[in-house]
Amino acid sequence: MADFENETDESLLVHVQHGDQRAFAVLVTRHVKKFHAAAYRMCSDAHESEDIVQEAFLKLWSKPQMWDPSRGAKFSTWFYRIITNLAIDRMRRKKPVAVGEVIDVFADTRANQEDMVYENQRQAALEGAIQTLPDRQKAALNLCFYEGLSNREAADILGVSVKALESLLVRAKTALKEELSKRGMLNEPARRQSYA
Amino acid sequence: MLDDVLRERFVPEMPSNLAYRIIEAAKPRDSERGLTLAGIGRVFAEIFVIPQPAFAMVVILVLGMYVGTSYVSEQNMETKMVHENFSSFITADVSVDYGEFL
Repeated sequence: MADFENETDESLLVHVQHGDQRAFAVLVTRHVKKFHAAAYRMCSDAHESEDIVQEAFLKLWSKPQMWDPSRGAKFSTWFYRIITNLAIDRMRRKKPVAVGEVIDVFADTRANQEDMVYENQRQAALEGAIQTLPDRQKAALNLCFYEGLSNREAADILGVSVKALESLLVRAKTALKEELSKRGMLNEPARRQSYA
Repeated sequence: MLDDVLRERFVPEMPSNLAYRIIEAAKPRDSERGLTLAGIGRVFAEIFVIPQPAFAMVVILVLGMYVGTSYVSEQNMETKMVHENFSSFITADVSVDYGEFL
């Protein structure tokens, strides 16, 4: 496996296309955390995000020819598209996320009980507000704001023009501002000092 | 202000074995391997590179039985040859005696 550690994602993909399992293992180990986070931000469900990442990687393994190097796309940009599309498909099939699921994630991670409750409520409100966004607006926000992709890359992933992406972002932020104000989150600061 | 609030968003840690699970799930099962030359080669490589206890026991048992039976038959052959040489020596000796008398 050591031979593959220094190789780029794109050259690893060429090995994967020849059925090399070690190259696939390096690719998974290198990116699984990032794509798990991306999947979680799309669906707000820890178990669902694991399934999405697993399904995406297994899809890549079973059909590696899906990635076409002649198009010049970076692996991560291309794979974000797979993750985003899978997440959108699953969310459409699934019932809306219950706030309780979000809250449970934060249990036992803060020292002080009161602060923990406060933080859980804030996180649930924030997550709930983001989940009210339409899928494409949410994807645009996740890709540009949280994943740090350029507008061009995010537009490619979503299959829209850069202008359309910018419009999605503006609408997403406007809607979020309104939603978070309603929930009183833009007025009160987070209790950062209470983090363990 | 909005960006600050958005940055507070929490993402839970992924399970530490997620990468391992994905890599394992991608490994072909025996039934999926088919009878291709590469598939057969891979199965043999796996058996010999990572010895499996049951397989190793069977090999040792068969090898032991083979060595055991071949040793016994060689020993029998040697005993038989010694016996034949001895009896032919006796017989020859007796016939020589008879010859002298005759």
